[in-house]
Amino acid sequence: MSSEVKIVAILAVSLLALEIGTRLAEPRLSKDLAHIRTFSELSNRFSSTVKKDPRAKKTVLILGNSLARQGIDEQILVSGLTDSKGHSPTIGFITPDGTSVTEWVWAYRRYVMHPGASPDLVILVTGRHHLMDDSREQLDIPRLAAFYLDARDRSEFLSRYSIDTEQSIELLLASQSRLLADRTRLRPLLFYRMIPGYEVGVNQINAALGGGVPGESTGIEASPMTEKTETLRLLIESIKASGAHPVVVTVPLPDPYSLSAGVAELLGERGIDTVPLGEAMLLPEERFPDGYHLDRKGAAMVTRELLREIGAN
Amino acid sequence: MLFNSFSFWLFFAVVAAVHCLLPHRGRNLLLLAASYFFYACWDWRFLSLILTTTVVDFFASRSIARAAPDDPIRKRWLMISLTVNLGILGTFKYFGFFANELDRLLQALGGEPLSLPLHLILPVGISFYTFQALSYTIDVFRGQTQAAKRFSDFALYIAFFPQLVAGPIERSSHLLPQVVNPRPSCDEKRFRDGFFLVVSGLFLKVVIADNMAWLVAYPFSPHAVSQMSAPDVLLGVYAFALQIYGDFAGYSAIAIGVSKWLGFDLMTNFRRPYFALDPRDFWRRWHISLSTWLRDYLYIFALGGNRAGRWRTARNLFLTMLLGGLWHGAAWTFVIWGALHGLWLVIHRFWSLRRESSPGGKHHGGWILKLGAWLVTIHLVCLGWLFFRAQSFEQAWQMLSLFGAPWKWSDYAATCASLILFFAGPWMLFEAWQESNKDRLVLTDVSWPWRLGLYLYVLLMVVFFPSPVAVEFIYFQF
Repeated sequence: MSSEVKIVAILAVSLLALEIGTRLAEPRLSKDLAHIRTFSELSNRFSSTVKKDPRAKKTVLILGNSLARQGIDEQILVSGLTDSKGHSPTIGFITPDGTSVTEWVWAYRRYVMHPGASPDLVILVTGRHHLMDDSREQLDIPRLAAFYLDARDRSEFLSRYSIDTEQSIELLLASQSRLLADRTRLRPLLFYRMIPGYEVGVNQINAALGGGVPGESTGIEASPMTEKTETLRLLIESIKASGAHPVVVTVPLPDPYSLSAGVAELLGERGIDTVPLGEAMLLPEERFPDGYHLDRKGAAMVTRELLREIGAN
Repeated sequence: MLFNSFSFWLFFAVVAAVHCLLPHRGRNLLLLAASYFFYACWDWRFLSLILTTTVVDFFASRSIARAAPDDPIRKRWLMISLTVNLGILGTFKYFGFFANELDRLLQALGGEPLSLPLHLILPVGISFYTFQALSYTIDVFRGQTQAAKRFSDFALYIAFFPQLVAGPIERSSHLLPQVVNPRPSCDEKRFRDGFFLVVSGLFLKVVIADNMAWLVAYPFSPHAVSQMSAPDVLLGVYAFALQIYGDFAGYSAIAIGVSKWLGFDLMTNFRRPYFALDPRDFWRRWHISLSTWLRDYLYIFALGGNRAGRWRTARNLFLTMLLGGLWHGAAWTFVIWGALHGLWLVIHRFWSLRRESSPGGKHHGGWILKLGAWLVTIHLVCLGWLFFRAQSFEQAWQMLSLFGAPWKWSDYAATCASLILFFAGPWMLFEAWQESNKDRLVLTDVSWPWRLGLYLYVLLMVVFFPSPVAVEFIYFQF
């Protein structure tokens, strides 16, 4: 066997070993990946709750990203939704980092939209731009393919975004390879620990680039590339088709904001309950320790306000 | 279809597989069809421009070759070829720029604004294939190359996909015989050399250039100047120097590598340019196919070279670099970049002549002098890159003025310095080893476990450290 054939063979075996290693190490690579791995148990949790006591138990799904994860206090929500007979709700979270409606809709369809397993209430927690469509160039195809998109939805996804050949190949490969989907997780893991001032440096670069960068989520909100709301429409239709009741909550940010006209129009048109805390609730700066996400106190205040608005109990 | 995309490698695998099964003529036709398909993937409309260039230059050169040496029709056909080639290039690349400048001038003088379409889409790779086509007609005119007999062979010479959109700018005397005559098959040596070039090219592009592009975004953003200090600018420019090198040398290496697998030998385009010790040395290592083209066809053929005294030589040198700057793009920043290099080459030429005529002047000094020469050279190259990358002269000047203000170490500077060392440091050490051996393929001659070690390192870096943002090849826009 010639030396170059040996080299290519060893490289191929190394790639395979990296793939296996990534699958084994995935839960330890980041908290976010460990969280994503819990999605597949959600429909089981909801369906077993319904089976146990179909009349009394409430199932609630919190759908969003890190703004939702850090903006909703689970304990307060549970106690607020516990009914007068002491039945506490089953609450599930789909709140992966750096995601928007593009990931939420496919995740909902893949993990939750199953007969008898859908939640009663879906609380869609969003920031300023997260409900607007991403442009084709903004899509994080490897992660979408690996974690959010179900094989059944692939053709619909391809046609919705006019995906080009390169992205189609990437989609196909990433649906089989965790290495492709997880590979960018190592970079922040390494650099945040090893380079002093890396976080500030990254923020400056991202600001110059005009928004956030996948895998380098440091609290800068990405600007929307489109004004379209077709993905949100699909999400609402999917939630309603599964028999769940959707509620949209805008989470407070350091500066007050309102949803874009297109999003507000769609929500109004589809009769979706909206809780505009991003506009109505002004919180002091100290509630945002990283300048973007809420602290525990802020989350408690937001959750109580949310419960009041949706008329819990 | 970028070289660092899955679609390119799928396309190449299909082309290479069919290529193996065909005889020589069939291979050429396959490569021509593949080249047009490759170009059509960018924008099929601009195929008409390549076809126009190909048809005009094919018939012009045949007419030149058929005519007697003193027949004036030869000159007429040459002028037709030059007019069509430079006309297309000028229209698509420079018309908007000059019309815009004329418009500004007229308005400054109180005139009416021009009602001209100022912005045309720049066809990808137009500067590269136009220069390649021009060199062919001029070489046929000068009797330095034979006119192609078969149209499809010539069309492949113009459109050969590995080097179509970003070079190397090949000469007909080098590439055309490889198209016309049967080529060697891909034996172990060709595969080994090609594999090294492809792997190193991917590393230069995916790991070095794209990660540096991300770092460069901050210091060159229009609003960052007020927040920056000199170390931010200095490190940002170092990062850009590495980005443009990784981007362009990476593309060239992949182009040469895949061509090797197809039986072609393309010319070397980069020879470790950041190890240069003076400007002349730099231009013998950087974008060699362009610098030699400018030397042969502009400096010598059009301007007369160094045949008319030292001041004329200096003028020709300066003009060549000025136009070389403009070749990169229609903007004043490119003109300034070209002028800086022109001025530097002229000063270096006078200084060298003086030094060589003095007693003991041919002695090149010890390592301290060499280190000093290297430091001066690399920083003057970086000064050029500052103007090259800046969005305007004003921005470049503002960035330069920060060197006169107090220096402050920032978090960006710490991030930039660390990432430069992490991504480019090991490769520069590898290049230092290549430089000491004066051979870019030196790794292909050592025992295979050493190569495997480098390839495993490249694999890990390409897999785990791609840029956080997608970046196209810089030179596609030239």
